[in-house]
Amino acid sequence: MKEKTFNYTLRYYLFQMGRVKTLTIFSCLFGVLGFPLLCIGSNLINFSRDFDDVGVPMMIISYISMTCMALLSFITPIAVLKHLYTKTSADNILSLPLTATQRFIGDIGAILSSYCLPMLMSAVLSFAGESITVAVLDKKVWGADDNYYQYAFIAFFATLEFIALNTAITTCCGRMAEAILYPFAINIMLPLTIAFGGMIAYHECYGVYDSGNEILYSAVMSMSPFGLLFNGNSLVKMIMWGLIFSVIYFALAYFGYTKRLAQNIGKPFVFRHSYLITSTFVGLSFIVCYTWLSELAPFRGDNIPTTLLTIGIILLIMMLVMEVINYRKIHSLPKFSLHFASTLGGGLLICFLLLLSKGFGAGYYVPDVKKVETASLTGFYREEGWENGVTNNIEAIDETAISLVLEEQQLLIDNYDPDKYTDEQKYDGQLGYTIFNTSFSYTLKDGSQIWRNYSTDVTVPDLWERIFQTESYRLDRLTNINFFSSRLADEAEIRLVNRHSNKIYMTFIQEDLFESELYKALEADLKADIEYGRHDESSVGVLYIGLVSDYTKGLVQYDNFSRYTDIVIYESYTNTIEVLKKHGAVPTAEEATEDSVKGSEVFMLYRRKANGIDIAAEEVFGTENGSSAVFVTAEEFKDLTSKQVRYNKFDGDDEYVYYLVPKMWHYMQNASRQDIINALEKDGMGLDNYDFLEIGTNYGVYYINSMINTEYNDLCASIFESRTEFLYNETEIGVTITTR
Amino acid sequence: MIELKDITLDFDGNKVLDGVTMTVPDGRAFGLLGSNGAGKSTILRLLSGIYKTQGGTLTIDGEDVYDNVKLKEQICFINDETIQFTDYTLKGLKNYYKKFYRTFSEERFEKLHSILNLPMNKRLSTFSKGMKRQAVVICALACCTKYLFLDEAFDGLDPTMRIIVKNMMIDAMLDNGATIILSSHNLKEIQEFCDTAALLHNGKIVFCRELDTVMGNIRKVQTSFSTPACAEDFPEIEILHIENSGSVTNLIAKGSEEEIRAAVEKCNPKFVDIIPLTLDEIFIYEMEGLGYEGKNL
Repeated sequence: MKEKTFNYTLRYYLFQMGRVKTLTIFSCLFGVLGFPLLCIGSNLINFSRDFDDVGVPMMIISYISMTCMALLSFITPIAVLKHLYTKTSADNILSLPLTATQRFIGDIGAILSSYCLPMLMSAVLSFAGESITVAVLDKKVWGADDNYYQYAFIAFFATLEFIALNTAITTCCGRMAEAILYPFAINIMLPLTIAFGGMIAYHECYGVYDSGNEILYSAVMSMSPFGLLFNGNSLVKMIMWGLIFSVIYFALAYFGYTKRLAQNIGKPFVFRHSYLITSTFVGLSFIVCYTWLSELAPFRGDNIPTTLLTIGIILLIMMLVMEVINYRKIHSLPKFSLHFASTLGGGLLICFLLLLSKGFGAGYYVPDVKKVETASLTGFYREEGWENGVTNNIEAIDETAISLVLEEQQLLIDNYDPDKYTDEQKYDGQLGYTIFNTSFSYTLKDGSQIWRNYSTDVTVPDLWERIFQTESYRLDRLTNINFFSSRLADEAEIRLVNRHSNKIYMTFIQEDLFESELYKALEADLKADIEYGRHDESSVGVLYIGLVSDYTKGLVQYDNFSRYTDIVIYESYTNTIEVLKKHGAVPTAEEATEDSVKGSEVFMLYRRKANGIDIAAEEVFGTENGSSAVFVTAEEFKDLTSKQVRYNKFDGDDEYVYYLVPKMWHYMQNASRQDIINALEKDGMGLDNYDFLEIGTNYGVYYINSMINTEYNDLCASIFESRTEFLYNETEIGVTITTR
Repeated sequence: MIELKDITLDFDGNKVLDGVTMTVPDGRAFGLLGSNGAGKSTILRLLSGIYKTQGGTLTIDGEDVYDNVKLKEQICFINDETIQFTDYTLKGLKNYYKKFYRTFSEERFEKLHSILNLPMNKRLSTFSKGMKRQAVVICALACCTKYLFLDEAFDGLDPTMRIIVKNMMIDAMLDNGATIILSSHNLKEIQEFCDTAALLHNGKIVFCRELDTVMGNIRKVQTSFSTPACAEDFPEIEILHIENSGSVTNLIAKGSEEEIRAAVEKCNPKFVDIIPLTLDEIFIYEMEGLGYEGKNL
């Protein structure tokens, strides 16, 4: 008789699939209802509020389904691997004619098929759902940054890693309680310990402290799925790390699976010393986390003994609980005492050594230019003669630019003053300097990333000028222009800012009239710059292209861009200057005179109550952000400027005070307003060379240089009331704001 | 043939098996006897390849059974629990065994099932304890494996069912030449079914012999002397138990009838009556000899 072909692995796999049939059905159901509905629902809601009735229930169902799916990620492996920690199941399964390898393949195959396949299906459906809704609704939705289907793919790979880690840990466990508890605990504690341990090590490193990202984004954080989810790396990198660690864990799981002995089922752990290793890890992890979260209290501050006592007591309770769970009693008091003491001492020693390490020299580390693939610098640039600077950034990809970025970092490190620089950007009135942040990020050729964020008052215009002339900077600008160009019609706003005779001029440029023209000109000029290299001419202005919401569009605020790029317009940018001139914008400082003011002026009206506290502007203007603007005609503007008073402190009797506020911070030039400084000094405020905005903030004399004399309050009120109907709708080409 | 040589196994430092040596020839019905925790189930798990030996050698047909698929195809093990099957129907249970044993005989299953007439499509959780045991046993017998290891096979079966199941197992032995090892606390079942048995105590083999030899080697003697007797009065034979009740002395002694009679008659008894022991009695007296008796526990 012909012998039947028997594929035991396949048979075992099918048997396990049959056992978790119900769970598989649930996984498929929740997979379909989870991320795909989230994608469709969110797109519907984003597209139009009219779809809320459909979209919101979809979102609710998807959240519930995703929660159930998360629970199934625990339940499915526990169900499939039951024979690893239940004696009766072990008798059944282990007596079958199967090798450990065949069982392992069957088990893992069943878990992956029952849970991970539905997750993958969910991700694919999410992508399909999102694509279809975008295609059906509008292209606009597609451009959104939050493409939820990506989360579905990330969740899939995180789940894969979780299953691998869970299986690896479960192979060490001999009881169900441990098989449930430890995968969960280790999954959370592993990344927390890595993150907090890294933070302790980097704590005293200049520039590194704020760069917790460096730890969070590191590969080591991806050691657990929980860490992977918090890892902010790109989708590709997350997938890569998720896969690498999944393979490692599956290999460990296989090793544990084949080496474990069934006679140890019923014990908490099937391998010798597993309990010792696990409980010690939990103890050390607690000490590292406590140390960081208590702001290094075991080593600093006035209460070191109390802190150590607290740590000791909590650790003792934790270890007692683990000991009793493991042995049902204290197995051996001397051994337990030794274990406790060594864990406590070891944990504190680790923290101490981490502190002592000073980040292993990270505070002084500047990568070698040969090792750097790309470098990014975001910092403060203050041009010669400008009182206020701008935040600028560069994505350096050519070696010259990278070298300049590295040079800047080295310069900041060399000028580090621990007494002067703190972790936060601030203006220090006492010391008389402004601290700002300068950030660096590098992607090295080996794929690793480095972040630094320095608070400093060092700005090197010359270095920035050299950076502006690099190929990278030009390319970066081109990339940015392309990005903003694609969204110009809907969300972008363009402003040209230039300066002449100590005055700042800002011009709104109406994008929909000449967007293609301007961009073509800019591209041509920037490309020419790349091709022909360096120039030594001075800038004639800065063009800001930014994304604004419908709400903030037209508001004259420096911070109403959600994202922007700024392009320095040099004299050699003839194409751009020509276009700007053609459309009435003032391209050069010399030409920006009061006579060039066209159209309506922008100004803000503020009302202030007699008690001296600013009231919320919305009470008057119906807006929420405390500031508001209306547009006035050139005639009205000229009329109002003639009614301005240079300096006026609020009197208790004033019910309303109006300000003419053409622009925020960058028009405040203290050098030009020595009269006000003198006045304030006379009042005993002891001011010297202060920024007026700060003065305003500190002393309640906002917009001190553009106050409308209170006797014209009625005029201001009537203008404002007449304009509320067409707020923000009056942007004209060549609207220029001037300070007086 | 099954051979265990000097098998040792310890759980957390406690020796569960300590130098166990025994041989089970093919085609035998072998009984494992022993006190609770003696190591009977452990031996069955070792034989089924569930546990791995720590010391000594265990071979079946000359091969190590652990992780050995070819050998395990010829082994079917039924443990003393049925809880793991409660979600199954009898049909599902049959399919479970059929999936993994290429020798599974549908025909045999139908034959056995027709005798017991258990519901095919009801969950085992709705079955009584005895019905669950019957269901598992007929599936195991239908696997037609060369080796069948049953832990507490008759647990929960009523007397009629015991006979039926016993007959089924005998048929299996006759039809397939199967070797059956069963452990049981019910010594009567072992006595009726097995031809060879091993007695375990504290992980050690007390004896491993053919039952005829075991039962023929221990006898109960009722006799009477003029003065109460003690074990030292009979140096030629091994006395497992001696009890004087008035003028009557009861002895449990090892040896042939002739040896025992000769030893007793040397002491001039008023009468000698030699009765064969049941396996239950042998178990009790052997265990008593090892200090395992009710009054000591």
